Amino acid sequence: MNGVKLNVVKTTKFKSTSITVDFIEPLDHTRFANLALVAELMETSNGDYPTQSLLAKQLSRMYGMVFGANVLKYGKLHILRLVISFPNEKYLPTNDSTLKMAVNFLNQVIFNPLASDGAFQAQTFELQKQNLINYVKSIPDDKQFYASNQLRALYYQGEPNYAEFVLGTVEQLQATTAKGVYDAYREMLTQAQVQISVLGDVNEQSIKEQITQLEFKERAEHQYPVKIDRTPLTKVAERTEQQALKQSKLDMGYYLPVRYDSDDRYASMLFNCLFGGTPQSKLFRNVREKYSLAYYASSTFSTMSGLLMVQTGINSSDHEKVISIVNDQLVDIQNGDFSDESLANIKADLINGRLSGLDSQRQLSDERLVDSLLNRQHEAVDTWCDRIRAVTKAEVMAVAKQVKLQAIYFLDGRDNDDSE
Amino acid sequence: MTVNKKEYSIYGDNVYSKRMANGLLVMVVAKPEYYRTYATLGVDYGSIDNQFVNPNTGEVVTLPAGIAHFLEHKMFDKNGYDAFDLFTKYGSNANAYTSFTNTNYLFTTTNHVMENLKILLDFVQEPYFTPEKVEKEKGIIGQEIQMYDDDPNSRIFFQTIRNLYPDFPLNKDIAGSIESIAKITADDLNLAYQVFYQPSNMTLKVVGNVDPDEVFQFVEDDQAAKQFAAPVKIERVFPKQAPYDFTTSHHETLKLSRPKVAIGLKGIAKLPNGPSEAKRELTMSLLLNLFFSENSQVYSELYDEGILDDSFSFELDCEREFYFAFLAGDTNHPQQFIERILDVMKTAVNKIDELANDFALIKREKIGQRVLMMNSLEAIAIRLGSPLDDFTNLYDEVDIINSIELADLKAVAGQLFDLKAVTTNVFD
Repeated sequence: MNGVKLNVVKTTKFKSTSITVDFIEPLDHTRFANLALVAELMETSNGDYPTQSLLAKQLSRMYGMVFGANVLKYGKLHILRLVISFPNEKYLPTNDSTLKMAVNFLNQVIFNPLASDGAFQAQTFELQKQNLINYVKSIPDDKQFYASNQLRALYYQGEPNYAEFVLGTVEQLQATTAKGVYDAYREMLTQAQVQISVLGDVNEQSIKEQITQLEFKERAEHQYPVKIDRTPLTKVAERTEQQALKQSKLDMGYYLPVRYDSDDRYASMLFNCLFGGTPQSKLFRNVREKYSLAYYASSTFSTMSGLLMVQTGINSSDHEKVISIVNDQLVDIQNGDFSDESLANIKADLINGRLSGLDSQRQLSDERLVDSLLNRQHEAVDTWCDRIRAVTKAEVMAVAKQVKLQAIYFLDGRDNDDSE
Repeated sequence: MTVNKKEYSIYGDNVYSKRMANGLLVMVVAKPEYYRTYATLGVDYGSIDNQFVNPNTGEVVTLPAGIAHFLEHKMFDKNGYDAFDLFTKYGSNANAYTSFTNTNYLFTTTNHVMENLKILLDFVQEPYFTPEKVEKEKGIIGQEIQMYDDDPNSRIFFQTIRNLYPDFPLNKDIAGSIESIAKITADDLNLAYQVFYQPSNMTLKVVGNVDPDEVFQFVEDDQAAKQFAAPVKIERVFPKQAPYDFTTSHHETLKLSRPKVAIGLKGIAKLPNGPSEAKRELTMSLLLNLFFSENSQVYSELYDEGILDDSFSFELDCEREFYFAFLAGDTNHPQQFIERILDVMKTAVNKIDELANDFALIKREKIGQRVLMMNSLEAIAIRLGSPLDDFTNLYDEVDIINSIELADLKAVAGQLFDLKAVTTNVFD
């Protein structure tokens, strides 16, 4: 069907089946709060199971199916994701098809919301709205998460689609209404690109029969762009915030102009692992092991956006020292100051990780989705491993030379009151 | 020594175990369709075991709090190399963690399983501690302690446990404190190692793409080729507890955006040994689910009134020497939260008969969840059981859950929901 795609992966490896339904649309920060609430409402109630407790009981009745609704960002895309995982009836004291039960349940979740006259039911809406506001308000209690959000905001200043948190701000959530969120739901239901992935020990024919039970309508087909473009900042953005904490957080954002379709994407993965992406990385080895300045010091890299992010937890007084050690590690990689052995180990690590992913239902399902979003052929695992093995030291150095510091966020925990 | 095999034909999985001549227990579950193998070498030694009889002098010693965790960190640090690096050659990921009663060293890999096993056995079975190395680790562990100090969820958990167990080593954080780890010496580590890191006090579990016989043969040869120190007797010493003498309520003001509440239930009645221990533990877990899961009446009422939300959670921790239940959540109404939860506990025993339908649903859910866990190598390994429950494993649990009845719940409810054994904790 136009705008609605189905992916089936048959494997006998798992004792369960998972169904993922993704609603995909271009990022629009003015919709974050509304869509976050749509997900929250879908997860907790619908016309068939109007309270959270009735919905939870239904999941128990279906042998402890695990169901969740989330919103996430993927490059330039916004995804509202429904996932349901359930045991194959082969392993249960029942002959009823758990697949049938799950599809029926998804149909209720997607097409029978707890709403009437163009608005979600007021009482349930207000409750979920309050829950979400409470959650977003509590994020600053998780210092590591909070610091990484602040770094992102600094790095993407002036670009709210990327700077703002995917659940929206407290103000945006406060401004939502039962009618506005319902409109957002209807718009998503009728216009978003839908991608359904089924993974498990399943018969493809019966899957297709089951999935056609979902009442989706045709919609215009789109292949939305995913890649985030960036013009690097010429001056490093810095921000320091003071809070009374035991441990300070120092996060740094770099730009690396490599994307998922660049030829040097394999080299960039190796670079990140060598820089801070693994326990054998330079950041871990030096900031933590050699200088004992941190319990964690790591980096992550996204080939959707080119953002290379460093996160550390340190003592306030070591802040300057850590910045200079982090930058020294980058310079070392640029100068080829790393052994062939460490490069070989990191290749082995990446290959190990890739193969391990084939044992994970979630990851197998995600791989298929990503191929479809990026409109590319599935790359065989062997090919991928060969490409990783083929990366040279010079290629890693070349990638490192393209890295540009963009933003430094420091959550300074210097304890200014000695009440503790 | 013979191989013990438990077959579970409905799930297509089998659990094999074999004890080596030196007492090391090896357990294997083969998952031939998987790329990965997960192996963990567990030592029956955790944060609460810091007081014991020194076999060299016959006297009771008390080592500084955090010693087991410190030892875990230092095991990797060898003469001129780090054990982590040996794993990285194969791209394997190694890690370790310490709990109240256990230390575990683990790796996951997709290749060269035997080589990785060798590295694991070698580094855990060969101590190397120097004063310089010990000093250096204090900075890293200090940061780890501080990181957890800033995490209110971790703080409220440990504070609640401390309140329940004022005169028992559970009152110390697993990592210890900055002050206690400052006192740790290389001699302390050597003594702890000598007593607790004996092969007979360890279990090796291997789950994944392996052949059980090959694993047993490999470990047998490896152990036979090694020299071990003379076995010594393990005599742990625990202070006498006054079970009902503890802090029943606690309140702290932190700079939190939302108050956090926790309720701790101290297990006072002794648990049985052997297979009935596993049943008792699962019964307690079903009981908590019946009254406090998302299906329960109180959850639904408090949820609709805005007193709790999905930050609410509960857990049951049954280990050697102790067991407790812990319920916690974020709420803007801490007092109401506490009162309503305690009310449920007060009347639980008399309510059980009315909840037969709910109970049937909870059983279904828990059985389904066990099947889902069978996809996870880690979950299978963690749930292979222990001598305490006669090695009841994940596959056995399905039948046990099926066998639990309302009468079993009633028998346990009176014990677990003992209001004299409750502590409450509010952070705002």
